[in-house]
Order: sequence, then C-alpha cells, then structure tokens
Amino acid sequence: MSTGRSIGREAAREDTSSAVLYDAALLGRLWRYLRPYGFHAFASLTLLMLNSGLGVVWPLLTQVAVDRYLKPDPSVESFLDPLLPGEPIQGLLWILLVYLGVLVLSALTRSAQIQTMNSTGQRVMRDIRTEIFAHLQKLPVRYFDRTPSGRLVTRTTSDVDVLNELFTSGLVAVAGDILTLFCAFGAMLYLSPRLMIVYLAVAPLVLLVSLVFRRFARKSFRDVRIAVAKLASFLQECFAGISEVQLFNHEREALKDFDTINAEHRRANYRAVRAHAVFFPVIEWLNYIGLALLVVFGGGWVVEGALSLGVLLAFLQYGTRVFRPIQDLAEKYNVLQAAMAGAERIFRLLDTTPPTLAAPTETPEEPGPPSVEFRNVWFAYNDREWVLEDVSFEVAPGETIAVVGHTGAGKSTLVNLLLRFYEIQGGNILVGGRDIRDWDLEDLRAQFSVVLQDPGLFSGTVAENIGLGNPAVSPASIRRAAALAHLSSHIESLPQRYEESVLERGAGLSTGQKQLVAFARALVHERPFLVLDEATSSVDPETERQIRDTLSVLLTGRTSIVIAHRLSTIRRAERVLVLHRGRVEESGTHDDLLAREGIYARLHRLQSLSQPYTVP
Amino acid sequence: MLWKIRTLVPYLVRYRLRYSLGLTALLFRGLLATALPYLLGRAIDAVADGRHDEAERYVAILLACALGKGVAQYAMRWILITISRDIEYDLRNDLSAHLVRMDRLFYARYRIGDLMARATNDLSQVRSLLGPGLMYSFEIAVIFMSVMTVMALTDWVLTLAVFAPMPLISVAVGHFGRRTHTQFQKVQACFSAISTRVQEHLAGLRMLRAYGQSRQEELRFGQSNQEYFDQSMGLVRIWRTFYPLLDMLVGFAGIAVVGFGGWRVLEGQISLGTFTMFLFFLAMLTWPMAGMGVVVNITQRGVASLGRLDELLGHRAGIADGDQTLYSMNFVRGRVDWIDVSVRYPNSGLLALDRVTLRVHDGESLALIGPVGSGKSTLANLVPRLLDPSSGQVFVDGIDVRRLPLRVLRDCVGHVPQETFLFSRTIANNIRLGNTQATRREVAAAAGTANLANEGDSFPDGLDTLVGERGITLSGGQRQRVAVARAVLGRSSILILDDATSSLDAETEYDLLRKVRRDNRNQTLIVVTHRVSSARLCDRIAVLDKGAIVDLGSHQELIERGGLYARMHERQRLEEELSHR
Repeated sequence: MSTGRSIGREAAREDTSSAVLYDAALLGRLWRYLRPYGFHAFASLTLLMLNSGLGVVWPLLTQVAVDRYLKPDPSVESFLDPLLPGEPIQGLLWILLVYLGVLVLSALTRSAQIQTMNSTGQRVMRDIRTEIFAHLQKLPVRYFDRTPSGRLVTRTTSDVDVLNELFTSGLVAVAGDILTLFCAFGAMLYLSPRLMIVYLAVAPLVLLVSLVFRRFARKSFRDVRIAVAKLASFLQECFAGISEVQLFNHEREALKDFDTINAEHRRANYRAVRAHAVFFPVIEWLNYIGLALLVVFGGGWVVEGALSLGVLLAFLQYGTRVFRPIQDLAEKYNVLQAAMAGAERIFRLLDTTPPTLAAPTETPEEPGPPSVEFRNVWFAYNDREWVLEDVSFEVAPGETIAVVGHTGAGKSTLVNLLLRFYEIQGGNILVGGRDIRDWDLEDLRAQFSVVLQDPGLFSGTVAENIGLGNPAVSPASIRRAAALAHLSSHIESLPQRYEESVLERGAGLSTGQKQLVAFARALVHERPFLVLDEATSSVDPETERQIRDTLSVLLTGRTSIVIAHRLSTIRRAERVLVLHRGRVEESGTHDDLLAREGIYARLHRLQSLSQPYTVP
Repeated sequence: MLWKIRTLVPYLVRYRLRYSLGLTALLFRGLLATALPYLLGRAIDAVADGRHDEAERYVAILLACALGKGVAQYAMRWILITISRDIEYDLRNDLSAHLVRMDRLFYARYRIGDLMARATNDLSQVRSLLGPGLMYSFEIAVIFMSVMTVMALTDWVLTLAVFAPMPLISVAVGHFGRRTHTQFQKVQACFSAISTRVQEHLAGLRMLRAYGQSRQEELRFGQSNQEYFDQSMGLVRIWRTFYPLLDMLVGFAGIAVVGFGGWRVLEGQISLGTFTMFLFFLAMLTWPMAGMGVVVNITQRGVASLGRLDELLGHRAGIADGDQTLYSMNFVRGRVDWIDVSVRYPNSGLLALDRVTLRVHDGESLALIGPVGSGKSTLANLVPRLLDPSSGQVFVDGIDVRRLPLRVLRDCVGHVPQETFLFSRTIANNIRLGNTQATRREVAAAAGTANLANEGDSFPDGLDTLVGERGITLSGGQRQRVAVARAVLGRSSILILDDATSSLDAETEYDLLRKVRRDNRNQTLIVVTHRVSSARLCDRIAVLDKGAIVDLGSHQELIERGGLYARMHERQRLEEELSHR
C-alpha cells in the first residue's frame, strides 16, 4: 500500500513545474559525493571526450580514401595529403594503419573510461552506503520502533544500486551521447558547411518528435509504475489474507478484482508500447529523409563538381551515427527518473535528524561506587499512556535486585531507560551517583554487561558472537568465558571450534545454548553493572542447571538488576522489587514478601501453578 | 531449452495467428531494411557516373522503401510486444488463480515477499523473453541472413573478408558471457550479504547499542561493503576488456571493407557504389553483433525466471475436491465427529494430535481448552479442512469432510482465527465478506452481535470507516470483533472461534459469546480458548494436553474432578483478582 502511494507521489512530482529545479538540487547534492573523486571523474570525462572524438574519425578516413585513391578528386585537399604516398595501394595501407591506430587508441580509451567511470561510481556508492549505515547508528531506538526494518535495508542496498545507474548508464551515457553528437557536427562542419545545413533541415522535426515522444513516454511510464504498485499491493493483501479468502469462498471475487487491476496494468503498458512502436520508425524515417536530402543535394553538387564524392560518403556515414544518440537520449529519460526517485528516498533518510540529547549539567558529579538510583521516574512510550509512574528505588554497589511483575508491568522499560535507549519524561536516574544525562552516552553504556531476552546472535563465528570483535577481548578470555558458561565442551566439539560460524539468528544452536552465549558475552566484557532480562523460554533440566550456575558467576561482584522469571533467580537476589502497573508496589526479600501475602505472594502461587506446564 | 519453456507453449499456440502476422511484419522489415543500403549504393554509383536523374529515382524508391520499412517496423513492434503483454496478463491471472487455491502448507513454505517477487519480477522477466527477447532474436537472424545473402550475391569474396572476424566475436561473446555470469553471481551473493548485515544489525539493535558496538558494526559493515565493491569491480574488469575488444573486432570488419574493398575498387572488380553499400551494411550489422549479448542475457534470465514460476505452478493443492467428492451435497447441518484423528507436524514429525476421538452434536456448544501447544487449534482446523489429518477421519453429518465439496464445506463452516486479516476496505465491506448478499441492516445487526462500532470504538464514519493505512488502524480487539461479525453474518451451520476473542477482556469476551449463542441457537459452536471463564459457557468442555483429550465434561463436572482444568481455573481466578486490585 505504502509503495503505491509513494510511487504515486513521486510520479506526481514529475509533473510539477518545480521538478526541474528540484532535480537540479538533487544532482547538486549528488555532486558532493563525486567531489572526492574529482580527478577520476575528470579523467573519465576526458577519456569519454577522446573516445567520442575517435569515434568520428572513421568517416573522415573513408573520405580521404575515396577522394585520394578510389575516385581521385584533385580539388579536395586534406591535412593528411603531405603524409600520404601517391601510390593507391600503399596509400590505402597507410589509411588502414591509421585506422588500426585509431581502433587501438579507441579501445584503450574506452577501456580506461569504463574503469575510471565505474570505479568512481562504485566508490561513491560505497561512500553513500557507509554514510547511511553510520547515520543509522545515530538515530534513536525510537526511530527503529516506527520504521520497518525492510525499508531501511532497501535504502542501504537496492536504492543505492539504482543510484549507480544514474551515474553509469544515466549521466555518463548522456554525456557521451551529447559529445558524439557534437564531434559529428564538428566533423561535418569541417568537411562541408553547406551540406551540413542541408542535412540539419530535418533536425527541427527530430527534435519535435523527440519532445512529443518524451511527453507520451513520461505519462505512460508513470501510469505503468502506478499500475505495478497497485498490482503489488493487491497481491500482497491477497496473499496475507489467503485464509480469509479461502474460508469465505471468496476466490472468484478476488480473482475478478485482480483481473481488473491486471487489465489496467496491461492497458498502461499498451500505451507505452505504442509510444515506442511509433517513435522508433518515425525517427528512422526522418533519418532516411536526411540521407535522401544528402544524396539529392550533395549528389547534384558532386555531379556539378562542387563537392567531392568522398565528402558525400562521409556525410552519409555521419547521417546514420547522429541518430543513435538522439534515440538513446529519449530512452534514458526513464532511467534518470527512477534514479532520481531513489536519490530522493536516500536523502530523506539521511535528513532524519537524531534528536539532540538533553544538555549535561555544567559541573557533573564525579561518578562514585557502582550504584543505581531511580528517583521519581515518569515515562511513556506514547504521549498519554504512562508506563512508569513515579518509580523510585535504589541498588547499592554489589547488590542484586530481582524485578518481578506481570507482563506489561514495565519491567523491560526499566532496562531501556537505564541504558538510555529512551529519554525519561520526569525524575532522575543516577548511575554511580551521577545523573545519566551527565554521562557521555558511550561511557554510560560501557558500564553495563547486558543480557536481553533475545540473545541477539548474528552470522559470524562463535568467537565473534562472544567477543563482538572487540579488540580488547583476547581469545583466551573468550575461551575462559565460554568455559564458565558451560559452552566449551559444545564448542570444542564443533569442526572449526571457536571459528565455527553461527548462522543467521543463531540457527544451529539450541535455545539454551543461545542464552549461554549471551551470558558468555556478558562475562567476557567485564563491567561493574549487570542488566539481565531473563528469557522465559523453558529448556531441558540440564541446561537449566547450567544457566543457573553461570548466572551465579555473573552476579558475583556486580551491581545487578535482574528481570527475573525463574524462582531460582529470585531466591538468589538480595531484594525483590514488585512492579505493578508502572509502580513499585512491594519490595523486600523473597521470604518477607511471601509473608506479607500481597501481590508477590499471589504471583508466586501463580508461578507455582503454571510451573507444571513450563518447567518439567 | 524447449523443455524448459514447455509451460509457455499453450500461450504461444493461443496467439499463433498474431505471432505469424508479427513475424511476417518482421520479415518485411528485415528485407526492406536490407534494400536500403543497396539502393544507396546504386544511387552513389549513379552520382559517381554523373547521372543525377537516376540517382534521384533511386532516392525516391529508397524513401518509399524506408516508409514501408517504418510501417512494417511499427506493425512488428506493436503486434509482437502487445502479444507479450497479453501473455503476461494471462500468465499472471493463471498464476494468481493457482495461488489462491493453494493450501496452508504451501503458504507456510513460501514467504509472501517471495511470492510477490515471482508474480511481479519473475513474470516480467518471462515477459521480456516473450517480447523483446523473441523479437530481437528473429530480427537478428533475419537481418544477418538477408544482409549476408545480398552481400554474397554482390561480392562473395569481400563478404568472406567482412565476416572473417565473426568466429572470433562469437568466441569472445561466449567466453566473456560465462565470466560475466559467474562474476555476477558473486556480486549477487555480496549483495545478499550486505542486506543480511543490515537486517541483523537492526534485529539486534538494542544488544549492540548496549555493548557500544557502533564502531565495530560500522567496521563489519565496511567489510561487507568493501567486498561488494571489490566484486563489482571484478565485473568492471571483465567489461573493460570485453566491450573494447568487441568494438575492435567489429572494427576489423571495417578494415576489411576499406582495405580489401578499396583494393577491389582499384582493380575495377567492384564499383564505388558497392563499396559504399558494404560500408552501410557494416553499420547495419553493428547492432546485431552487439545485440546478441543482450538477447542471450534476456533469454537466460527469462528461462531462469520461468523455472521459478514453474516451481509454483507445479504444486498441487493438497486440499481440494477430488474423484470422491459428492457434488450432490449442498448443505450440512452440524454434527462433527473426529474419529481416531492424528496430525503430524510436517517438519519435526512430532504429533500435534494423537488418536483423538470426539463428537459435537448438532446445535451443541463445545469448548476446547488446554495449554499452549496442546493441539486444540489443530483439532478445530480439521473441520473446515485448513489441514487434513495424517490418519483418522473427520465427519460432518456422518460424511467424511474430504468428500464434501470444498465450497459447500466452507459455506457451512464459519471459522474465525486468532490472527485475522482485514482488507483495506470499509469495516462494513470487511464484514460483508461473510455474506456478499447481506443487506445493510443485516451487516449492522452482525456488528451489533459482535459489540462492534459502539461508542467505545469511535470510528469516524461508523461502519463505513476505511480500514488500513489510509483509514484507521484497528486495535487487536476491534479486529477480532470485525472477524466475529463477519462470521456471524455468514450464519453458517457450524461456527468455530479459534481463540478469536483473546484480545478482549474476559468480561467482554463472555458477553460476546453469549450474544453469538443467543442469536443462533441451532448453530454448532466450537470455541477454542485458554480462558476458563469463556469455556464454562459451553455445554461441554474438552481439555487437551500434549495432543490428547485428557478430560471431557461440563464445567461443574471438570471442577469436581480436580484435574488440569481445575488448576487452570484456580490460576485464572488468582490472575483476575490481581488485575482487579
């Protein structure tokens, strides 16, 4: 649906009068990426000019061959004359030698031009990709809550590739076409200005036809794009709702609706086909009219002796070459439009500015021993619905507190706020006695070892997944952490051991092992605080015991906040915090709270009641 | 090759008349195009001999021929390309007709994005094969043959010289074509790698930020980015040799014309006009020579895409009418029997249901309750044949559901899943899916039964509010109530609510179920739920655990028996208490 709309909008943009200005602004912005490779770009353009120049030499050579040897015409003088031998066969060989040189030179320049142009284009693409990815690092977590990840992947990949088209088959090809056109005109002007004027008589017609075609092509191109978007959104909906379509015997109606859209798509394409089917023959016919004019007028002058046959032949050859660029230019228009749309989407992402973080206090507190304090914290993800209301609690250095509560009580939010993924709306959070807004964001996060519910494995080696490619982490410490997390025997049994690659999202490891990897990661990064959002998934008793063991190692000597789901974890904590509907309702040791017969006691009973199904 | 495009044969046959017309136009175009350089050559001869009138006559014929060529070219393009658009249209309709009938296993196997890609991108590749691919290959063949014939008839010695570089060209095209193909696959693999990198980064965003991994991640991304760059440059390295080489080889043909042809002019064996003619033929052949690469590319991609479509078209729906279908049946009342039914998960081979036997009487209400993964939804899904059992049978009114026409079965069985899909239409039209003939009043009544569109919902245009991006986004509870209204409107003999009201609070759910029951007393009602409060409304309750029925009876009986059900009851009572504090 969204694609349909944005395509509609982009298509509409093409019709506005400011589109040209707008495109100029986009191009200007793209130019900034090209500037670091200015030399390459300049070299590429120079080579392109050379190549275009060499491309028009051939008719000139045939002219000399004809006028000097094949049908000698003494009235014609060429700059090559003094160099050429009088003997025809030798002369032809000379000309061929020159042509061979031109061919080789042209091949070399083309080769170099392909190299410089593409390496420039590819470098620019690489830079833009890097910039997009770096920009993503700056955007707040909140941005990713709202933006589908598929869209961001497309921005970094296919959209950038489309932009490459703009450079290679778009702009450069257009420049090449225009240069060829100019070189050919230059050669014609050099040979016979009179004949050139005759030939150019068809030029206004060619221009007119091209303009008319562009109008039609633009409209039909836009219609096709809209039809494609409609087709896609209909199919998307039909596949997503396939159960409903089938259960309500709605197949026939759905197919009928689809047929309507499909027919519309075909109709739009018909118009595009017609535009092309008319344009090409008309242009080619105009081409032949031009050639006919050359033969009639030029031929007349040749008979009168006012023009040499070789010049006429050269003109006839230019006559067929000039038209290819004009056709190309008309066709390239679509490519350029698509690329512009891609550029626009990329720049829109890059223009999303990260919110400025609240300024730190002038003279921040020096951080003291590792403690955490929440002081009257208020927070809402959306404007109205408070997730945390006036939450206050303290964790002393080295203490472990367990946070318990119903789903949606706000437990995970505590973690999100502590790590400053989101900004709080009221109150203060203090880490080591210093407000987190006074901490440098990176320094703050570097205080915490974190284990989240989703272990967050990525494709890479086991070692990379534990050490996160951190240069400060030695292979030995990775091995030590894996041993502590009861992972070493499993890893040692893998064919490549620590270099074994973990597949996407951790496929190949059991649920429990994934959790243990996340524990090992937390162990290897030795940090004063531990934040743990315990996974709820149940595992076999053996793994359960390993997780319990590793957890006690983790908790030792660290100030820890654990969102606990396992009774064993709760028992290990010095204090239990009961969060209920965004408020801290109870706090104390496990036994205290049980004795109090409040929410915790009920939660505990609930837990024990549901235990038989989740933990054997 | 022919075997690979067998799917297309019926379509090609369907348009055989227009194809022959288009190809005739193509033939004419090719022949007339060949005549043009010939006429130019003759005109130059006339000019060279000082016969200007004759030259003008040739020019007049040339213009007429060019006009004829233009008309033929228009006809060729219009006919051949529109056929490809027509086949694309047919193929897309046929493909969607096929897909719409596929069962859940199919949709579990193929992701929507994948299906979309095939129905759009792959199809348009096939279209290119049928349109430009076919047109260009015939065009190249015709031009080559006619030009070669005319050239050979005029001067076969010179023709041989001109075509001397041809073997080299085809070797070069073959060699570099293969290298391009291999390198292109590497580029594609790197492209996937980059996509995966970004995807994974976004998936693990919080963990990565917590560990301050931004710089390392940028480095890692940089590696993938560099690799993509390197492989792309590998492709450029092929091009930078291939294209100039091709240009040069074509240039050699030019050398042959000027050198060898010039020599023959000097010897008096050919006229200057013939020499000119060869120059123009050479220009005419440049495109077909370069175009071969394009055609090969279009063909290879088209055939590969067709393979991907064939894969989809090759699937037979496991759930469909068959030889045994009793087409005389057009209605069922509502008794359901599951006899010794087992269902095995296709991937793990584990049993979702293990030899279950159960009966629901006509007009009875039955609740299926049990922990997650106990098989209660699976049991219900067997009735409208969302899946078929691995062994055992399901009967409605004593007839095996596999023998009932699917259309009749689904007309008579209403099924509301937990996750329902709403189409981007109005709410009323979403409800009307249950019965397209329903009047407005009936739709409103069904909405009323489902507690929909009351003050609490605040739909700006009531039932005419648009659903989806351009309209409003419905909450989980609202979506579920639309789905229930939809099913109520269908007034089916059997109604299955498969955890269909889980997003509503217990009280609303209870109220809604009571209304549904009250409005259609004769309906057989099967309620899959995890809430005891809803289950107790039903005449009987079946308790499932690990794919088997562990208890069966009324609410009172089950509570007294004190098993799993009683424990669930106790637990939910506690939860209730907690949330009411």
